[in-house]
Amino acid sequence: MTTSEREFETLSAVMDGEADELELRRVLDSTSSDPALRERWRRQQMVRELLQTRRISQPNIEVSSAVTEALTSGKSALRNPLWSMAVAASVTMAIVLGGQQLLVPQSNVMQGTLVSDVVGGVVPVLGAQPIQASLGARALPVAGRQVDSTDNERREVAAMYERLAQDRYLNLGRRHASAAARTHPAPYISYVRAPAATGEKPPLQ
Amino acid sequence: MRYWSLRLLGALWLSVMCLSVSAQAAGPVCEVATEPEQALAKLLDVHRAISYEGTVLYERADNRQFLEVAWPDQKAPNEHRQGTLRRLNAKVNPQVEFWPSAFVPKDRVCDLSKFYSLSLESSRVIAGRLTRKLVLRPRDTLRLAHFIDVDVQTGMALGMVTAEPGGKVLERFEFAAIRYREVPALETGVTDDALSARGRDVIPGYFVIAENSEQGVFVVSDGWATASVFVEPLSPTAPSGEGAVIDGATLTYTRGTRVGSTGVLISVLGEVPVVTARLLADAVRSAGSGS
Repeated sequence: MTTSEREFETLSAVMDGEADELELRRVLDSTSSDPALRERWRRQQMVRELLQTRRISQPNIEVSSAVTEALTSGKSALRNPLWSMAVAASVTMAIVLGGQQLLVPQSNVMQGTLVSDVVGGVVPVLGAQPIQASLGARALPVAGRQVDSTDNERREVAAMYERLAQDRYLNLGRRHASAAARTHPAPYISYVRAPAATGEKPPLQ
Repeated sequence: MRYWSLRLLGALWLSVMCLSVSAQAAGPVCEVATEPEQALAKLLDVHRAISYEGTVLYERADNRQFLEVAWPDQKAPNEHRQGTLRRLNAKVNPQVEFWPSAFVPKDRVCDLSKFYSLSLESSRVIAGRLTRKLVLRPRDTLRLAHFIDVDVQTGMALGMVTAEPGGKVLERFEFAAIRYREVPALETGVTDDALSARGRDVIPGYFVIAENSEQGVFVVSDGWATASVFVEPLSPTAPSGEGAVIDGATLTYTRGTRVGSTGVLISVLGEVPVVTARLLADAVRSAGSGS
């Protein structure tokens, strides 16, 4: 495992609340000198927030700087490892959640290709993974390929949209069923396909 | 969802690209000539003339359900017929769900025969009744294959398999028991035209059957398969990407993208292949972007 991979792993542990005081300090030190690590922290926070709220409030805030500042503000209570972790977590949450109350400045909008302008059956989408049109549509791993941070980011984005697809299936499935029933010769099947209403026993496995 | 987002989506609307002239333009009269076409026409219109109750086994990957279905609901007025469904897997007193019947226009058979190869194949007995297998094989890659066991006497579907064009089975159902009842046939014209109307073409073989620009949803069908497209606001800073899950024959495809300066989440739910869902997502364009 390379140094940067180890740092990425430690960063993930910090974000999951599983890192100890030493690891947290190490990550904070690294982020001060490593823009890539800092950017990764910011992106992971964006993805998490997007998954939870489908909104991103302040994408350009550097959470790591804010955490460092909070930890080094000099108050003695913060020297307690438990306090440090709590502060790190709460500062992160405050920055992320508090930002949701603010409008996103237009300057923060990421510029990219307008996908809907692209014509064709297979659309090259930034961050997309190939999808197999079969049961268990998952990206196929490419053997022997160098895994770098770009690959990891793509995987994170693909996983995020896969989870969004699952979420939309659960939330919109019954609406689709009522529409699909109008053209299907066995209309009840459309409702059976949709997720069961709340309170019903899950189907037999 | 915030008010401005709704308004934005309304303004964004979209239009679905019109690849050809609206189907309201009169086409040739649909002639149902061959035996498979006649079987299909009867199948699509069967709920107008029959009444039944029965038990159905439904299966897809890792999922099996026993169902009790009845048509029509005896308590519903004749002009608003609806069917009932109970999932027998529920522990006690499974709640009754209601489903509307499809009264598909006769010319839908001609739409289908353009994009599916129709054939009538082997016979077998299901729930004590003789059936023949009606096969809809897709002529392109935008749809799935369907194998329907139709009751020789009534024309009703007593069993069905939905599969990928390559033959991989995605889901199936079959009546374990069925009992037909006497019921007066519905008058022609009871059909809700607004629900069965054929709208503009979107992608090859698929046309709009319903849309609500305020809610950001439109529904397309090729006469058999249906896909619902939902457009919701998404943070403009969200990374672009796509993802999909498949449950039985139902695909859910999501794409995060930007239309103009607005972040948009496009969700396509339907019994369609991934390539179809991608094309439908492509069809979502802002009103100002032209087509």
